Amino acid sequence: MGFFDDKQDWLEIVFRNYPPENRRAAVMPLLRKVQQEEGYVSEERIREIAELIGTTPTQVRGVMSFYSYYQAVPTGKYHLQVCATLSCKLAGAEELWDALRAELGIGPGEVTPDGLFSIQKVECLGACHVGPVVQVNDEPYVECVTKERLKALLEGLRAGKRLEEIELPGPCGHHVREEEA
Amino acid sequence: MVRLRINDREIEVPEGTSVLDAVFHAGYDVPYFCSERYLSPVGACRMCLVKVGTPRKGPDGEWIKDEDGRPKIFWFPKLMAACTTRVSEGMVVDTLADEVKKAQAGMVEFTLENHPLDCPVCDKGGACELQDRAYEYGLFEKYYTETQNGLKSVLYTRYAFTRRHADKHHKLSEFIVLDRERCIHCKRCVRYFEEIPGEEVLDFIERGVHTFIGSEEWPLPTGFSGNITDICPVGALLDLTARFRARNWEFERTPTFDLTDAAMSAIWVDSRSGKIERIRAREHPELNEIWISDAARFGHGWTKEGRLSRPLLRKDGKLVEASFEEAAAFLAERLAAVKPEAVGLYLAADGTMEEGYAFAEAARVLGTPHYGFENATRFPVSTLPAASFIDLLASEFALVVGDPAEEMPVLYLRLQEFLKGITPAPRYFHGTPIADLRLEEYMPRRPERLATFAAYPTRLFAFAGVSGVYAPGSVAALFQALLAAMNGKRLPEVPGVPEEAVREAAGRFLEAEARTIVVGADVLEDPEAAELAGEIARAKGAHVIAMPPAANARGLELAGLYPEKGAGFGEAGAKAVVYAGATPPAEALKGASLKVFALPQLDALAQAEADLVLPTKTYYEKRGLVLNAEGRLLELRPAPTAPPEAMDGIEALAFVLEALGRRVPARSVLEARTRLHERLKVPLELPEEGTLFRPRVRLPARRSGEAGGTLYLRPTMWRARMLRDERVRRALGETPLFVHPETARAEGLSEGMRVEVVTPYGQAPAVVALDGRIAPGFFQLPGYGRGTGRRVGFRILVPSGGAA
Amino acid sequence: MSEGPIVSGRDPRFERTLYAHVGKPDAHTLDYYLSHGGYEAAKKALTQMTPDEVIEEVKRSGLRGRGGAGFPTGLKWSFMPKDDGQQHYIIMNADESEPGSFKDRYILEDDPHQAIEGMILAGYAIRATKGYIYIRGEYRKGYDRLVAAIEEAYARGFLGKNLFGSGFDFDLYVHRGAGAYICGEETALMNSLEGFRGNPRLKPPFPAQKGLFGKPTTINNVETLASVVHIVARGADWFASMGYDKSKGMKLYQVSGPAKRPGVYELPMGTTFRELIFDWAGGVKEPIKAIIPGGSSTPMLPFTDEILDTPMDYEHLAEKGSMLGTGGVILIPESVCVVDAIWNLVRFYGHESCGKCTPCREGVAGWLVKLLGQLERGQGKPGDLELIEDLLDNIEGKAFCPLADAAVWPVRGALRHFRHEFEHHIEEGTCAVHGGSRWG
Ligand SMILES: Cc1cc2nc3c(=O)[nH]c(=O)nc-3n(C[C@H](O)[C@H](O)[C@H](O)COP(=O)(O)O)c2cc1C
Ligand code: SF4
Ligand code: FES
Repeated sequence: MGFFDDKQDWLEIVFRNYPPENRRAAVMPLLRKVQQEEGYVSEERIREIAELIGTTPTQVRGVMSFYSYYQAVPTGKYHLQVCATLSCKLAGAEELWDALRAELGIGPGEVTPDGLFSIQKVECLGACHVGPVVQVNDEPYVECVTKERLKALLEGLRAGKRLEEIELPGPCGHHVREEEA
Repeated sequence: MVRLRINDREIEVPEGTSVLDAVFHAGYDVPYFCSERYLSPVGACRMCLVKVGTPRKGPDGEWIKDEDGRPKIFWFPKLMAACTTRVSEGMVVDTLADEVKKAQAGMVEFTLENHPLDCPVCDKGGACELQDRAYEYGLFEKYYTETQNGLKSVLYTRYAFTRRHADKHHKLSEFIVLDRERCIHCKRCVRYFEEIPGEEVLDFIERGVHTFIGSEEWPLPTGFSGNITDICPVGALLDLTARFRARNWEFERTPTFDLTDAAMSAIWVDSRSGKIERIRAREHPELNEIWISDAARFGHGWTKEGRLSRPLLRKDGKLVEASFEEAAAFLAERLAAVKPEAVGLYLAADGTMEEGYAFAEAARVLGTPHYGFENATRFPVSTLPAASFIDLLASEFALVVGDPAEEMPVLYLRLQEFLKGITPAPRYFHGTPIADLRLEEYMPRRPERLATFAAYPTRLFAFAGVSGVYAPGSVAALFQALLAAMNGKRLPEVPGVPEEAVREAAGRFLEAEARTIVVGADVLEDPEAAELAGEIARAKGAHVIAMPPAANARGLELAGLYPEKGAGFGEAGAKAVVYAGATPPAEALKGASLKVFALPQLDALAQAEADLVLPTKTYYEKRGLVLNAEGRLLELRPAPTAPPEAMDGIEALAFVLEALGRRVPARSVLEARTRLHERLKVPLELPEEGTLFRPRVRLPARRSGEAGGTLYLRPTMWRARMLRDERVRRALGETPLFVHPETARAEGLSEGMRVEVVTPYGQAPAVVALDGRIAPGFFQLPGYGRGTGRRVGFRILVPSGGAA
Repeated sequence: MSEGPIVSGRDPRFERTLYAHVGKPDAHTLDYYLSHGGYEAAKKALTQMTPDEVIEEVKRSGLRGRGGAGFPTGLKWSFMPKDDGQQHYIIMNADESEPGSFKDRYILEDDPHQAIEGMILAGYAIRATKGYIYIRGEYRKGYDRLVAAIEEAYARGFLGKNLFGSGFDFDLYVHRGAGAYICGEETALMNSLEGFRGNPRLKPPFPAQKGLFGKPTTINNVETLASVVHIVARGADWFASMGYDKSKGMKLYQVSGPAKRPGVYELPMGTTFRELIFDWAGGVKEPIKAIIPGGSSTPMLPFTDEILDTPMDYEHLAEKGSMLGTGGVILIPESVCVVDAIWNLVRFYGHESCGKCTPCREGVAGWLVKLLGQLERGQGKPGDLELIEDLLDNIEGKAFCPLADAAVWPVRGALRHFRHEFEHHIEEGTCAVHGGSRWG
């Protein structure tokens, strides 16, 4: 069965976002849907998407491989994306990355044997004041990832908690309002 | 026109010209990699950076002046990519400044940084744009000269890291290999596929320094893929038929024309040691631009297979080599028993006009009605006016009946241009613009400009506003209906085509200001349809481009080889037959007691039937005139690859006539051409690009050879003789036998079933392919140039051996 | 303090607008927005002003694009054709991927209606009845909030047909990116939105002639469009009362790195670094040696009194050899090696190079990254700095789009002010400074 077969209503809503003669504009939301639900985008899905938007698989792969979010190989249930750019580096992103690798025993492109985790270094996530930042799958950021917070995060995920249910210790100030100053 | 200065030279160029073309027009050079003629400029390689300044107008509308009272030049703060910068009035371009030189050298250095140094084993070596440009523009002394121990040494790059490694032998198809290490990311190939044939089958994958060329299609669709091997500036995309066959400077390069189809693209025949090793496109701006079909490019392998260099005589039932004397004696003896008026003289579809003249004249001398040429259509193509591809581009609407992608591939590419509304570019001193700023990536194609009909859904259908599939044999009905719709009459039924499609096509046709009708073999095989097409063109005003299945149909008809009533090529009737360049269907030999073939190599029919076989040249090896579908007279030039004793058609014919003791109408190409000149005012000297030559000819349509069977022979760009080549066979795969599912059910056939198809051209394996879009009741088989557009009788043998 | 232009957040005349509601509970809801004067500006413009009057007001305000390049917004809008009968598009650039920048994020998350209202105003001014918000894929919360806000706005008639009875229709869509910095460049963004690879496109044709889906298009940053709301609401003169010369209005400055209170601060243009860092961001946690003034692509400056007293605006920063950029200030502490920091940024640009043009693909992503990496690992050789500078010359101003330049400038800035640290790396094979772990 095709991935999108039972998602016709969803597809229709997506296509409505673009002019009818520009169906290929929907390639990114379609790829995202596959990535979200299957953890990667297989050749088969590439073909399916190409068919849906009226272009060639080559073009879909060209687009897919351009972005760092879509993966060509399967990821873990929790794909941990660690920001590695300057501000997060200044907050210890490199040490965090090393710790994460050691803790999970995997490198980029690998999945832990239990299928739970995969890791990727990503570039600036736009949360430079609350670094280091980790993004789990397509969820809102986990910020100020200290040693304690990382531990709590991994424990929570291993325990099968949803991200928003996990209690992270310590403060993480956003400082976006003058009252706080 | 815009006036500007390039270094020290003032020039005038049309508005919209790129600085790059202006520089070349002025006689200066500027290096470039990503720009290519006929493709959109993208400004990606940054090799063509130059210094550009313009004058400015003040608030008073006058030019701002410098101290000397001349318009003051305001230089752009950065160097500009010449390919994507438009000229403007008073512009000043400096291509020689030091900063330009430094930028060029820097860009060469960047480009070379990850480029492998395998020039010694690279097929592009010696003809590589990167090699040339690196040599000319790469060495900027300031930083290539290193001082070590007081000694100066020249380095070609300061890059001291391991080069990028990537897939080096990545086959994209049977014909094309990709070396990813050599790619310099000019994007020409990617743009080519999208912009020229309209197939998005190649693209960049990944990004940044990891970007590489890739395709999800295996193999790359054949048809027009080979052109990427010509335009690749480096050795990243290579022609596998020519791989490692020679260094570029070892090739003998012959500029001639391709006779695979009636467009007759300009080609280079690259040969070495008497063998054709490679065919490349040769630029002809009006005809094929810089593109040729895959068949024209990759189909040459057959020219090397089993070439005959001596006559073969049948002795004791076997063909054995013989001397020309023996052959002559044999002929004299056997011909004595045949009446001259019972001799049939037949020429291949790619025969030259000189050969055509000699054959027609010989038939006249012998008093025989039996003559003709291969694939002559029942309606003589010369009777339709000719129009050029340029005329098509000037049109607003095209009605295409047939399959240009297969019948005349280059026309298919021109139709793509037409769909985008591209008109011919201005010409510069250096010729075609290298960076034509009128062209853009992903230019929209306008389907409302095109209506197309054929006996099966063709490649063109995807681009047409209106399309329809008619049942083989109903093409006359289609034209009746079109004419009726144009005249507001009631429409007759067209099997397979809905009335609205006809009405819409007719309506759009009438609305357009300028129109072109393109007709293929189906129409030419049906005199009534062809007459109607001509009538619509006359009455409503339209150019006509006909795609005859015989490449030189116009030339041979003009030379007089279109038969009036006798047995034509492929028809039985003559007692002694001479076939030059091609063999007919087996049934044509019925009743013939003497069968002479003049062929470059044996085929199954000659093997079985010939009494005498004379060695001949292929069209790559002949000199002579040909007249393409546009009515463009072109001159073939011979590549030095024919075996020494191989004859052309004129020589073979003379050999036969001498044995008959008859006067020979012409002994040489030159003599035949002189006669053609005297009779038809055919020019004796031709410019390199040929000339339009369209004398008015009216020939009667032929009624013989009525179409009958239910096997429809589809046109293909590939020719039967090319199947000798294993690579071509592999690329084409198994031959499909297309059947409508209903018909298949009735006949007990199923998808994928392997069968043997027995046709007048012999027996061959095929695989049943169901297609609900074609008419029920018919079978369709690729004809590989034989009997294109005709319906013939046939039998299907199913694997068990019984007939289905 | 009440004379002359407002150039300090401490000036009593200064009032926060863009971030007035960020961080407040329920600020993202329509009810909250309406109870704080929401959609009044849109109503005013659509019912009392012509599109040209809106453009004129924005021109008079002196607003310049907040996406980094600082192009005058009103002027940009006036390039759009009029009465051409074509579909026009307005795009909000919410790709926010420049390291050190995170200001747009909170508008999207906490005040999405402000963004929507900005889109309506811009759409009206440039006669675009359709708008797209291109939001970076990672901003999940911002996306969810935006989608919810758009739904609310449609339901209550702030989007859709005949807004405020003016006859103006406006539809708004959100498109998510997927991790590519280059898609913040406006033509690459359009390619990405159309479903092509995110390579930048040739200009001309400019977006105003031939943009999204081939139609006239204007692209503006989130902050730019949010500013328009307040310009229309309070008038161009109010806006122009803030800032010096050609740098007017309020600006969202961001501070990251070891400040005590890193975050986003809305202040008048022309506020000094000193005020931002010490008064608002609470001072520094450790000694600082350098400051990246406006996002990673702006050349770094030394942390000196002279620099600290420099007003943060287009002109003053240009005078100091840097740029305002996005206003994303990154503090580089003494204990961090400048070579390390620059290597990190060059690597970023290398990773984000789209690969289309030679100098960026081979020069930045291929060569510069390797050279700096080698230097950073202590394997640099004498002459490397000269080589790097020569490569920078061969890259700068020669690439297809500004991304390559954005990679060049930080290196130039670092070499200008901290050359000794690079030299130390070459001579000693190691960093001039050694801080401990920075991870808490
Ligand atoms: C490589 C590159 C990345 C960019 N990224 C962004 C971005 O993330 N957000 C943004 O608003 N502008 C970005 N820009 C600037 C935009 O191209 C464009 O100038 C801006 O969105 C225009 O809006 P404004 O006039 O309101 O500033 C980027 C430019 C370049 C060259
Ligand atoms: S500078 Fe060139 S390679 Fe880099 S992002 Fe721009 S176009 Fe792409
Ligand atoms: S540097 Fe990590 S979020 Fe900005």
